[in-house]
Formats: sequence, structure tokens, C-alpha cells
Amino acid sequence: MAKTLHADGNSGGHTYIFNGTASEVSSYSTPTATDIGKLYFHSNLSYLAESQVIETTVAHPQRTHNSSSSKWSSTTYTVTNGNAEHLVGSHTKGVAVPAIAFLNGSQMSSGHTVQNVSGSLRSVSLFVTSTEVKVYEEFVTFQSTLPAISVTYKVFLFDYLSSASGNVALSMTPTSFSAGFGKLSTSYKYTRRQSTSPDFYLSKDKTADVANGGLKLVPPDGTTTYESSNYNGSFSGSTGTGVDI
Amino acid sequence: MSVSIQNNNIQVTDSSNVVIFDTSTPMPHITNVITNTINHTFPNTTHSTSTNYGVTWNACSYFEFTSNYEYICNNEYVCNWECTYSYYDGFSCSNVCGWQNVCGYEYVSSWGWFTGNGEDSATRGIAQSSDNGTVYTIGSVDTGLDPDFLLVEATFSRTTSGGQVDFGTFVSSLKTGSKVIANGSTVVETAFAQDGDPWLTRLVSVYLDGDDVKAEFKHSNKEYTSLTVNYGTCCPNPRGYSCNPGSSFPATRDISSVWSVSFKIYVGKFTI
Repeated sequence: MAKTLHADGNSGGHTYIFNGTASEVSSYSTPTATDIGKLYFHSNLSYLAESQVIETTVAHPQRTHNSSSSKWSSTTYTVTNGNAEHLVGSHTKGVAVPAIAFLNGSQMSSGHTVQNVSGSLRSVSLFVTSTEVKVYEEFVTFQSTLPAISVTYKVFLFDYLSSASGNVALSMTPTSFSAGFGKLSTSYKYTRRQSTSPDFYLSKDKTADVANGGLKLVPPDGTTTYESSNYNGSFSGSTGTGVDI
Repeated sequence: MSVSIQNNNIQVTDSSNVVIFDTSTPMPHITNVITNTINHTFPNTTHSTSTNYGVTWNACSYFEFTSNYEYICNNEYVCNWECTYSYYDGFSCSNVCGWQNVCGYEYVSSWGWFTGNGEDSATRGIAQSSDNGTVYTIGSVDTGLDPDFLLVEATFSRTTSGGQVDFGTFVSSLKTGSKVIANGSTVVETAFAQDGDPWLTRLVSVYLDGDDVKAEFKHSNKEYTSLTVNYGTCCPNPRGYSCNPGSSFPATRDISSVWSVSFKIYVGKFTI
């Protein structure tokens, strides 16, 4: 068998690459769920392409604890809490798009606690609007002040090419290549599997667990980034599929 | 730009000679977009209290009418006719007076103030440890598709907020009403003790189970005794009956929270 590139200009512009014989060409014209596992490319599929990468360091300000009164005996503080939003970056997609977020170099779980001083804590999540990516910070203080902290956030925003455009099944020029009505095109930066030092990981599994009140975080790269001392569960996480852009 | 078809491999590069496609490096693609809204209540836990009892001396004052049958002695000036008889003088009587200690039982009653000891209590609330989880099916994909990854966008809403008497409402750093990046597991609520460890954590995890995309809402808390102490005191009945010093306000608080999460799941798969 050989890898075969087939472009059909008459039947909807289907273009696909499969590993098989010429006699199988028609089998993959409109692939079933099972067929997808046998294809290298098919113009019916909605490929994931990088839309934008945003990276910035956010200076989270000091959160001073309140020492004005005592709520219970032997303490000299009052519980305070609050929240704030910080801009990570702008984008031009016009709608919220799927994304993957990093916090200080590790793929993050939203709601992650980035600072904890004797129970005073600061936790964050990332959210996407039609024009911006922002970090939402919630803090609470007890007897300790939370010092200012700088956190680097990196966000991959994705396009997925759900619809074809034009009527060109296959086109090659000295500067461009297009197949499947634009689904496969040098105009896009596709994501592709990468086992060694990938840009990020894609996963279908849980990335955290709770037990005995504690928390364990295992991002899709399979390394434990946080485990509270009281966590007594058995979660080990899993390693997703590495991807490069 | 180049298109290379050789050695059973197809590769396309752009004008910068960057590979945009190669049959040896599978490409992820989106097979389904699933939307659904899941409502979940993280349940309350069992609460109890721990109370230490004590006594405060002379903490109670009473103004009370008292009456008692008492044995009383008084130094009284007493006069008595005393008669003597002699053979020569016959009877001779005289009034003899003098101070004497006179004792006897008397019924004594009066209104007055007096003090007694107060009975005290110091009560702390205890949230018992609990672990629970509920799994919901957000949606399903075609049988045999065998997806490789999920990208999750979630809009969270908390309609009821649990809390704790020491720290108030549980902390959540999720921007409610916004599209949060929620791949894998998301911490929805947490509370830390003063030792720096969380004593309560709640997660929402989105994962693939066969052909189903599922969401697990999972809760865990270890036992927590409140720092807040609720003091109570009472004065027992002067007749000796005890009292029951309660606390002025609850030492515990309902920890249940109600969340609604609108999911948008991009289900993906790699080509071979």
C-alpha cells in the first residue's frame, strides 16, 4: 500500500490522503467515524490551526491583610477578600475561541492557587471574550499579607476550519498550496503531533483530583505541578498527545 | 513552497520552508462540538459542635424574697418574776432583770440581693470530613470514533454559595458568566486552613469515557474545627437548679453550593 493523495474536482472537491490502494479511493469520499482513523488528511475534517499566541507577565499587586479587629479569640485580623481582572492580551477573532493556557510554563487548570501564605491565598482563572484574554484573580487574606507576585501567562488561541471556501480541489503555485477547497492551505499554521518538546499537550483526561480536602494537579504533560500535603488519593494523571505548531 | 511526494510520504511546506503538513506527523482536527448545561449541588456535610463548660464565680446577682425557718439566738434583756420560799419569810417574789442569750426556731423572710456562680460554655463548630462526586454525561460521539482530546470552554454560575464561619463564602476564582478556559479539571471552590493546606476543594473535570464526554463534580473536605468560639453563659436558679448555657449564634455554616455550568466541548482526533 502507498500513501495516496486524491483530489476530486467533480464531487464536492473532496481531497484526501489515505494509506491504501487506488481501488479504495471511493471508500473515503465521505468518511465514517471508523474511516477517520485511516486518513492522513480529508477535506471534510475541521483542522485545528493556531490563531494567535499571547504571552505576558502579569504583576498581581500586594493584598494587605486587615489587622483592625479580631473575629475570634487570640487573633488580630479580619478576613478580607476581593477580586480583580488583568489583561493578558487582545485578539481579533471577534468570538471566544478554544484555547490552551499556561501558567509559569506549565499547562494550567483554571481556579489554580498561585499564592498561599498561611492560608491567605490568591487563585486565578483565564477567560476569553470576543476581543481579549483576561486573568481573573480572587484573593482572601487572614493573618498574612499576600506580597505582590508576577505570573507569566501564555495562551494558544485556535481556529478550527469547519467550512471550506471556494471551488478549488487542488492548487499549486510557486508560493502557495491549497487542497480541499482551502482546508489544507499554506495560509494556515496547522497543529501537528510532536513527541519531543512539544509546544503543548492535548488530552481527553482529568488533570486534577481531590481527597481528604486536598488537591493534586497533573497537567497533560504528566508531571505533578501541585500536591497539597493532606492529599491522600491515588490520582497519577496521564500524559496527553504532544503538539507543535 | 513545496509539495514533496516521495518515499511513501507527502509533505507540504510554505514559502518560508516551514512544514505545514506531513503524513508522518498526524494533525488534530475537531470532530464534534458538544454543548450542554449541567446543574449540580455540592451537598452539605454533617456538622457537630464541641463544647467546653466552666464556671464564673459570682457572675450572677439575684434580688429575691427568701424565707427560712431558722434557729436564731439573740442577746436579750429579760425580766422574770422570781419567787423564793423560806420558812421564816414565806414566799418572797421580785422582778429579776438581766441580759441573756435567748435561742429558738423562728420563721425569717426578707427581700435582698445575693450573688451566685454563673455557668459558662465555649462552643466550636465541627464540619465532618466528606467526599462525594457525581458524574454527568455532557454528550456523546459516534461509536468507534475514539477521540484523542477535548478542548473545553465553560461558563460558570454559582447560584448558592457555601461557606464557613471562620472564612466566609468559599473562594472561587472562576469569572462567572464568562467563557473560562476549562480544559481537563477546574478548581471551582476552595478553602484553606491556617496551616496552609486546603481543607475543602471542589473540582469539575471534563473527560472522555468511551463514546461519552462526561463531567465529574467532585468534592472533598477534611474535618475542620472552627477557630470561631461562641461563648454562652447562664445563671442557675437560686434554688440550685442548673442551667444550660447556649451559644449566641451558630458555630457552623452550610457548606453546600449550587453551580450551573454551560459547556462547549470541542471533541478532537488526530489523523494517523
